[in-house]
Amino acid sequence: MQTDVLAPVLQGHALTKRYSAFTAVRDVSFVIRSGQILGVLGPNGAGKSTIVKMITGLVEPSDGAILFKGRRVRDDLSEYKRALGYVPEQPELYGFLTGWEYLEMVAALRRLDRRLFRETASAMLKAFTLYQSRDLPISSYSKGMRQRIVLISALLHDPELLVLDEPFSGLDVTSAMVLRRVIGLLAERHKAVFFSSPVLEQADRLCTHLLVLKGGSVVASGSMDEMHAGFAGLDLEAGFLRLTQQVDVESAAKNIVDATAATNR
Amino acid sequence: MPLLQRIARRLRRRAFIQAGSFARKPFPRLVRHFLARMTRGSDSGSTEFELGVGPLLGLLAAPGAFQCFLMLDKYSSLLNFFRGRLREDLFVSSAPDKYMFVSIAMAITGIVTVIKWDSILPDGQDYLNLAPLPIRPRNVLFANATAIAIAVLVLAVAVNCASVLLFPMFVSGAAQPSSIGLLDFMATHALCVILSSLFAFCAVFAVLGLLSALLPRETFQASSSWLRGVIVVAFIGLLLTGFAGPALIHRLETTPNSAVRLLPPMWYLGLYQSLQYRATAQLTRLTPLAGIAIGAALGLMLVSYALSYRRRFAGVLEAVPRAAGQHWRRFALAILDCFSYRESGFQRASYRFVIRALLRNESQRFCMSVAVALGWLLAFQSASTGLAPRPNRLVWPPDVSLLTAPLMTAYLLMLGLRLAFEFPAALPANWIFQSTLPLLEHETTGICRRVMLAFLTPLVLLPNLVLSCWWEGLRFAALHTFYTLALSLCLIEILLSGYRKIPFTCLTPGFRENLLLRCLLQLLGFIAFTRGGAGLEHWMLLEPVRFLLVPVAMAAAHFWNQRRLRNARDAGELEIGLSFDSRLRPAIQRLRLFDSD
Repeated sequence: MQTDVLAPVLQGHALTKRYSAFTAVRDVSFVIRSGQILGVLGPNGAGKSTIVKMITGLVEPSDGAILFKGRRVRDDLSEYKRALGYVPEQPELYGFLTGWEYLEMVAALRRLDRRLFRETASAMLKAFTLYQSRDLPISSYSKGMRQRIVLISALLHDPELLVLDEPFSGLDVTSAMVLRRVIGLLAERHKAVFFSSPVLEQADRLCTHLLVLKGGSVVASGSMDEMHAGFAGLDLEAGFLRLTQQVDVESAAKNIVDATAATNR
Repeated sequence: MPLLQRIARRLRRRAFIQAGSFARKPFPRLVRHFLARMTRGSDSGSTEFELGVGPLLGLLAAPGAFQCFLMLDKYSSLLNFFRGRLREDLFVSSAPDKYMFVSIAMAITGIVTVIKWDSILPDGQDYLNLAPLPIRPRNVLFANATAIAIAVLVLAVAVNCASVLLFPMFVSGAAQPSSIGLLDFMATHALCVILSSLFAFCAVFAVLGLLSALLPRETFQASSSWLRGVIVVAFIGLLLTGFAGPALIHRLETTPNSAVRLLPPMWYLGLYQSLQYRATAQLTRLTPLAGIAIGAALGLMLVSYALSYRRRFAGVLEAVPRAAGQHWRRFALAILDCFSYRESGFQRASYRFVIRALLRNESQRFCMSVAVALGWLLAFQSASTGLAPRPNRLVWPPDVSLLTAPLMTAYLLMLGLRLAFEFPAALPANWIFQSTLPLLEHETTGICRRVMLAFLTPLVLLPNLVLSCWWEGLRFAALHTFYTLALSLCLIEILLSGYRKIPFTCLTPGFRENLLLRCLLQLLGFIAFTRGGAGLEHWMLLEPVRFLLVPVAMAAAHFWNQRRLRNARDAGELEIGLSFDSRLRPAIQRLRLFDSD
């Protein structure tokens, strides 16, 4: 593929994160090149969010290194953070600011030109149908509105690397479709996208490459074609369940319904 | 005997089981929920200082107990024998002390009610949790009302228990009445101080409840913390009148129609003295006001409770979000943004963030409003003393009391702002700073200094300039304002020394560990800054050329500080860059002197 010959934008090399005696992430390596969308899949507690936090500099890896364009990010943190756009799992925002004020703050932190910010932010707010609500305090926003504000703040400075931690959570159907198309277009324009999600269908439709985690370790990785081929006739869902050895879905559902019925006896 | 023991044990067990099953019923469980809400606050992630119920009640009782022990000297029989005051009627001469206890009861109850206002009534969170459950709305209302009644009684008893026990004992010990007389005194004292507490609670509830019910929701939310700050300062003022008890009682006796008769503690002192058959004619005249006041406050409280209950509880779902900026707030933001950095970047973003957080968060606004209102109150008092006509008053330079006024306001404003910086606001949202900024490249001292100056200018410097110009002319106004600014800058540097956080983005440091020492230091600082500063200014005004010493001294201090910082940096002792340390440091660090590792 043409994208494979491009230089790596982000590399995780043998990343490990320990919290006291508990190891959340163990020896995880990956590469994202320009134009690639790397999806990280895994059940809850697999270490997806910890990897995202290490990539964004919110937590330090216990071992291993993160390289941006071949250089350790710690060597030039400012340059790295300027190139990074991040959407966290929970859209935690300052509720006392209005949507516009929040975007203005992020733009100022990123030293964007004020006139350029006004144009870009207005266009994005209109595209995400938030323009009418821009002067309302964020505390009055729904989860989906907050998620859209975070997305806009991550895209404002045209980042080279976009890190999305479950970006579709809380979005309505239209916004989710718009976002999916936005991610696709960004990849077409040679942006690198790191995408974490617990939803298989999204990863299947969006990603060019996949990293499957279980218990903090990588159990499978490769391009989507390689992953499909590796599951030997199984569809992605069945393959994922086999890799991560999740619970028997049918029996788990039956147990829940039986327990509910027991309260009426 | 074993049989009796077995029966007693069985009865105890049955009573315990019955009490347990009662406590698990919906109504008592709801009452417990509302009581817990009042002691802990509604939000589990609350940033309020949380104390256990025991320490909290102890803290509330402390001022009364402390005041009792301060009076030991006054009621010592031996000392009074040497003073030749053994024949004095202590029930009469103790009137100022009774006034003090009534003031303490009112002030502490009122201040606690103001602080806890948000957790008294059920809110939207309660509505969302309770409405889907099969509980009648009537039961929720009664449970809340019961919890309020229990909480108020516990509060009133806690605030006054020490004085109810100790004060009658001290006075009776000196007056030597019978045991019945002592019990009678205790009952009278308990009745008067507890009624005072109830009056304060009902009055605060009535005022805030009526405003909450009558004003538009957004207007009340926007002005609530400022209003509460003003009420707190009013109660502090009421408490301070306790120290002037003898003078106030004397004034009431000599000038019956003076404003002193409007002070609520005076009404309850009238009741107190009437119950002990020691009331003067003037105090007797005020006695009915005690009953009328509590009746009126209670009536208004019930009306406001009924009006605001539904609005607070269920109305949350009907609320339509509106634009955050009311006109006055936009105006305030526009003024404060004039001080902002022009260039886009970390400093501009942080400055605007800090200003908005200060103006829009409850705890920050409350802290600032108390600081500003208290500062202005003290400044007004000091200025009126300075301007009062006196026979030997000099025309020039102005009285030290007058010079002290702006320094008091400035000190308390700076202190309030510095304290407000430490209260976190939406902590989980600070990921945006952490993921965007290289921590070692930025510092916040300059931003905080600018924020403080932005508030200082319209709230202290400009009023000071205008009023000084009006009183003493332009030359004095310019010198006085320049001097206030210079001292404020010095204070800002001291307060911000070693500050490396973006305000509101870290957990509150452990203030409680050395709260007493901090308060003492701030008190000493306040006296040094205001008295010392005003004394020095008075000396310089005698020969205005001496004001040239101020910039020279400031420049010397600046260069000394720069050198100190440079040396510390070279020695690796100075931490640089931003800090997002949100760990609470333990109060006591173990030294591990005997650990082998």
